[in-house]
Amino acid sequence: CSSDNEPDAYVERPVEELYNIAMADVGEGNYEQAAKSFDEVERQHPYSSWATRAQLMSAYSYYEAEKYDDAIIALDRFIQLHPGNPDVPYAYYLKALSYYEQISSVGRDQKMTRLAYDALQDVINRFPTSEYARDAKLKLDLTVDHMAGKEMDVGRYYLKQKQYLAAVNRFKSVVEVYQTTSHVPEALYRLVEAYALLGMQTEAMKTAAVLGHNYPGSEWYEDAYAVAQGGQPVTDTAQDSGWLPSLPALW
Amino acid sequence: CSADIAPRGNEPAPELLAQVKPGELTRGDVRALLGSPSTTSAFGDETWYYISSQTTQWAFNATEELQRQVVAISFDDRGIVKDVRTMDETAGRDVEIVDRTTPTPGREETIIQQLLGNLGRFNKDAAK
Amino acid sequence: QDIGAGQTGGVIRQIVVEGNQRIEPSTVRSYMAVAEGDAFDPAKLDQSLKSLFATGLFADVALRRNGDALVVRVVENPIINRIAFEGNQRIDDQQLEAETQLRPRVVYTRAKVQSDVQRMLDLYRRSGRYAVNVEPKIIELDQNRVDLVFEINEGPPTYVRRITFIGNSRYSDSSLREEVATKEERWYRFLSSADTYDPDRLTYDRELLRRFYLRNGYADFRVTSAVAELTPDREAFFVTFTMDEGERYKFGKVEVNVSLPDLDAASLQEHIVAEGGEWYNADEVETTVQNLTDAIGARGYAFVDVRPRVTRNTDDRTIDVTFDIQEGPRVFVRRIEINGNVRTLDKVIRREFRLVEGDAFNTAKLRRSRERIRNLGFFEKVEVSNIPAEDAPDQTDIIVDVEERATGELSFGVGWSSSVGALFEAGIRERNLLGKGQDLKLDLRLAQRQTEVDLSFTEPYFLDRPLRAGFDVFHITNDYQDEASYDSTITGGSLRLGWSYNEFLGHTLKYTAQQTDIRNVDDDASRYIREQEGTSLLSQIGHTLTYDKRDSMIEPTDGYVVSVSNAVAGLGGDEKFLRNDIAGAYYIPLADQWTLRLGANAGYIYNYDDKDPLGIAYRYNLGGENLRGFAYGGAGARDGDDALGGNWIANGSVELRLPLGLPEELGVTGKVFTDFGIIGEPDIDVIPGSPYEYSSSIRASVGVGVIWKSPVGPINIDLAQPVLKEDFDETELFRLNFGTKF
Repeated sequence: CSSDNEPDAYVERPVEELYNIAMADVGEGNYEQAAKSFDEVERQHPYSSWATRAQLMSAYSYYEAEKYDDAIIALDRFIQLHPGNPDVPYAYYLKALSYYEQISSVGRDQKMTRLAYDALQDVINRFPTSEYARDAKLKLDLTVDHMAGKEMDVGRYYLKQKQYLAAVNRFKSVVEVYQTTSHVPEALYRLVEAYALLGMQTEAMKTAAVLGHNYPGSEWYEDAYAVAQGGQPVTDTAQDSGWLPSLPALW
Repeated sequence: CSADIAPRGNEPAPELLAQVKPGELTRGDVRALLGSPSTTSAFGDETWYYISSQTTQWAFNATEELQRQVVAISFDDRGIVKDVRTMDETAGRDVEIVDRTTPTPGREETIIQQLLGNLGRFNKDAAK
Repeated sequence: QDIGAGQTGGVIRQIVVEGNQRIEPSTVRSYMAVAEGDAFDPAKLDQSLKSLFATGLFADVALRRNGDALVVRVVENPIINRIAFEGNQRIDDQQLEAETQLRPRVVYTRAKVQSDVQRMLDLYRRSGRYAVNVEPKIIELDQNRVDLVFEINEGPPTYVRRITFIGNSRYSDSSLREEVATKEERWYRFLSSADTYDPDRLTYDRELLRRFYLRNGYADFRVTSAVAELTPDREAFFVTFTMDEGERYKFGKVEVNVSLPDLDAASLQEHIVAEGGEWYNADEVETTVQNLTDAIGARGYAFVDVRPRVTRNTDDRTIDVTFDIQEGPRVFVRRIEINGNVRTLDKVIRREFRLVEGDAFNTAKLRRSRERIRNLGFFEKVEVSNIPAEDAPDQTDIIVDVEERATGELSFGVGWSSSVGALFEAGIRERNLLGKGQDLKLDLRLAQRQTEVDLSFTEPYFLDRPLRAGFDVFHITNDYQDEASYDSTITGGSLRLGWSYNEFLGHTLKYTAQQTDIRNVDDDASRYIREQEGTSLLSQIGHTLTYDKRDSMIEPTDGYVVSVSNAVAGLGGDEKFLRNDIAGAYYIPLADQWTLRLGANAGYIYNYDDKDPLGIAYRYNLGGENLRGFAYGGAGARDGDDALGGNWIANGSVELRLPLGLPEELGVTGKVFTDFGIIGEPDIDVIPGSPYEYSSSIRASVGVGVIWKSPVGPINIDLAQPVLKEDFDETELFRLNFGTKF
């Protein structure tokens, strides 16, 4: 069907032809057009068996075209209309991915991270045995890791501002709430740093011991051991971004 | 033009702190007397810490700590106060803060996207 | 028709679904509370009925028992085939679609259509159209499908044509119009929506009026009503604020009442901004509360709660303010959560906070933090609230909800001024670059006798401390043919650092490197100009200290500002001089709209390079803007008709701004002024045989002028008559400039 972008003519066509046009668009990777073609299938032939399949394919195409909001709306409708359909697990999974890929950097609002967490948890609870649950579990860990990253970002801000109490509590929350994330070694090290700055020597020693026990090979432990013994961090701290304001990426 | 000095954290009043003697009070008594601890030890026996400081910031200087007090109250296994120690800022050591950070993914907007993206109109649905 | 109570009992063998076209029977069964094998339980059946309706998929649902089979008769809601909007010009289909929830292929229900109509009406109202009506129409299609058409009659735009005030004896309508956010319709406001009617903005205006009057002593001020009437032709709104100004009060006794242990009131006296005898000012009361909170906090009393108690004595119209200082509740801040910052980085907001996690909770500091976040100018809304933590009664979490606004600005302007002729200006600016709070600005000005391109970048918290660091790059060409028969091109850049010691005292350090090119000096120009032809490099470092106590930066009516700057040129480059400048302005409010401005400025350049004289581009020039009645440089050293400038200058002006008693709507303010000044010689060697004329006598002029806020934009006209001048001075009686900023 016409690929120019003026609104597609409302042309009645047999359902198989429309469906194949849409699949061709998917093949070519022209996802936005594909989504529109699948919508046409469902609009012109809502009661055909193709319509259900087209609904899901249109959502998939919106997802590939990074139009996450449209994908989520289409998926919600599919789940509501066909709760019993065999493809429903995939619909929940695709919805979770649509939130997951909008997660923004730790410095910004983490609403999408929370929505992704809930949606991924949904997939795992509803369809524990489906093949999507395994990947959802993996992505769930990364989402939780991201939440821990947010705590660390705020903790480091307070540490640099010499607000050591605020920093300690933020790093402690990572160690207590997010034990399985990749940020725990750094959180433990930051605790050692803060305790040393506060003069809480016993806490610094205990935390360095825990870090050594759980992450013996890490650079964080090397620094922690040195600091707990009264010295300075040993690994290269020259990664300092220098005094130039970090010029943002131009393009 | 006096720099503004800001009180930080939880500084227990000296006369109340004096009442906390080893062997007498339970955790509940200490909380009633001094309020919730600023922080507790992450591992091992749960020691309570009351941390407070006075920071100042003047002109273009970074924030500085003028003075600091760390009160550590440890408890025995029956939950009775075992030991009360107070340290001031001299106990602290100057540690250089490591700049290395654990990487976190996430989308970043480039300058051009932002400049052209939202001139005048900030599309509401993106912000929802 | 559904199951009566009598027919209960027995087990449902089978659930039969009838009348469904699109929705599979399994879908219907999955929403029901009963399944095959359950008993005929009326309560459960009723619940199934409700849940099926709740899906919104069905127009009608009926349950019937047929032996031991449960028959579910459904009538599906139609599917929307296409949605069309007709009759909309001001808002395009795409914006309407974004606002409505119904989509093609979605189930059509009457409730959703009504809610969409309402959402569209709200959208129109937000863009200033109140005379809109929307008619949804349905076209039945086969296979239970419908086309949905919204017939829209947008009606005329509802601008605010006139804002009038009733009951304002003390302040004129036009000065109150400056205070409110709603503006009257002006053609040059087509880019802004401030002149369209918006009820939320009207309530905000009431608050702005209240704050204005409370700042000026009217403690009893009340806006009795703010009404917007639609004109008969529904074209526009007339907004009328009626108010009761009440009496104007002065501060009576202002004292501190302390109930904190070993803290005496006398030592806090210095922090009180409000003074007895002065006009009452609510802002000063709030500032005093902040000062007292900070001062007492600094002495270790974390839990201080300062409450102003106001008692009016109507007989002598004074207000006594007692600041009650007592201990606030012993609550600590556990966490500070920031939400809604889709683009702005967390630390850009968190660094404005006066509280840190773990601190003693304090309402004054919370208010101060919200004010500081609002002043960033990145957000439509900033809400700060605190929620007590469940597990610890003496801890609370602070939640900050922000709603970001577009911080990108595109601006245009046209105008004319005596100094540069007709001019066009354009600018693009992003005040919150990449959410880091950085400011990037590109300005372009094209005028008959000047072109300027200026790029500037500023990082407000350089090295994570309150240090504004930035750079500028500029290219300026000036045509001084009539004043001194030469053109100058200046290209260069500067690095700057800025910080403030307190609310009023700021300091900037600036290194500038620029190349100045003096060219097309015409042949019969003065030889002193011709010897300046060529390029010269300037490498200069300087600082400026500014103390600014004015009540507003844009239109000051009270207070004063003083700035001192010194600079040394000569770290490389051709120019070698020490430059010192001092400038000040003092504003005295005589009466409403009567403001007296006293201005003074002095500058001295010491050229320590004995070979060449100071470059002409860096010399002072007396005349034009700093000495009205004289042409630019018209009062300085002169050779023929070329101005040579001077190495030192001292000038001042006394200007009275007054209303001319003309009707308000014209927006005309008069001014009467006198300018005066003297200027030094340039340090150039006299070329034998062609001496230049110079006199160190004082020049002065008197004049009148008018500022007219015309529909085209603000116009500024000055008529000045020199009274003390030398015969060789160049005069210029009339000066005009106007400029419209879209």
